[in-house]
Amino acid sequence: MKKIFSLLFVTFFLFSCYPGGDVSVSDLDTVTTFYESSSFNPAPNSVIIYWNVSQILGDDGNDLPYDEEVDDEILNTTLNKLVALYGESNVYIYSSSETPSPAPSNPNVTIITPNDAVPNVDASLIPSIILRENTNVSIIYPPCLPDWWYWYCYPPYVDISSYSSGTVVLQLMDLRQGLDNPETAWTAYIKAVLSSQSSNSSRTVSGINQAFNQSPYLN
Amino acid sequence: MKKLYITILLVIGLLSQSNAQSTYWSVNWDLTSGLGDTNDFIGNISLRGLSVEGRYFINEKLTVGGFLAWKTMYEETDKDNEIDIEIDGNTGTISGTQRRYLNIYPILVNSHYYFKSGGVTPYAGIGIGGAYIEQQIDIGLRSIYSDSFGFSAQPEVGVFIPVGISSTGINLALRYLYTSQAGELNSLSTVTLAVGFGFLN
Repeated sequence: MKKIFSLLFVTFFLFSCYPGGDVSVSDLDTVTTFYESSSFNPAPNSVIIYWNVSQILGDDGNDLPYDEEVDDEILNTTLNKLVALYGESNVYIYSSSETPSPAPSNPNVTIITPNDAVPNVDASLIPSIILRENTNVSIIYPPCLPDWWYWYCYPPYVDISSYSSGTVVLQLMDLRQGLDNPETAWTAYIKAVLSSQSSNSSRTVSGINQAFNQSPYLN
Repeated sequence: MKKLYITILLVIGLLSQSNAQSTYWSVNWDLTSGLGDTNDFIGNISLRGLSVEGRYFINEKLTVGGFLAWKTMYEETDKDNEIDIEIDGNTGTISGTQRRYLNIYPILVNSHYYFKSGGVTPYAGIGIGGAYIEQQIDIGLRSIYSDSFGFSAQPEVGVFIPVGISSTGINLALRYLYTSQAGELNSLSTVTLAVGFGFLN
């Protein structure tokens, strides 16, 4: 009997403190980067960033609308990191107008419009975003419970859960083989479950910073 | 007649002496820490562990027996923790908060030597067998799961401290568990402090 009590005590202790409880939404953020090593041997010395965040759409109707909520964070955070890597004089902004929107955080970076000559740069950086509504469907089988004189098993039921996710994609194209032969040199995927606007903004900034920080080969 | 009576008593006394301890059982709470690569994977000391063992005395000081345990280890990493990855020939890095889990289930046969009989009894021994290991890394909305069954060895030192005059007492043990590389998982090394109840029969 002592053994049984001891076993029950320890088993209860084990189950009572099993980890994996609360998870904050930022704990689900991931930053994934891929690179083509040949494009960084040597690394590019100059880059032009497209001053527009394009939305990538699927064909299954699960895309969420995007109203440029985090354009500023995506473009200016990326611009700051490019300037830090290559220097102001080697970074260009490609914009459809002479007054880009949102306003660049660094006024010393040269703005190129469709009316200007294309500068001779090593690479281009294209930002984009994917916004999705994700739905999970699963069948839950509740446990059987003892009733007065028999075991009662609740019937299984269908559980549907959904969450919204956003992925910022930064794609660095190597242009040194010619403008008609660009090669993908580096791609960053900053993926997060969407939350409040302020949370989405700050997590976008930290995600882009992390993408550059974990890619030391970029310059 | 008197001599016969005394002889019978002596024989019974000797038999009862030799059978004074026939089995030893213990149920323990295991506190486990990883060593080496295991510690690099999960650095936290785990307070979630349970072990049960039974030993049979083949003579006054030597036992053979079996050992079962379940240890769960867990750690949540920093957000900036990075993993190098290669997918379809593409080289890269993924970072994010990782929730790392290890479930370790050793199943061993063992033998122990008891340095004395009666009272506070120190012992040393070794167990050999296998361990089923489940490893899981949750990152973002993804989960990476691996499991294996590897060869295991577990040297151990401990002490049985009887409480009062009963055959029940406190069991304390320090164990080192090594499990060989198997499947997708690397070798595993842990050290465990076991605290529990011991029962001498």
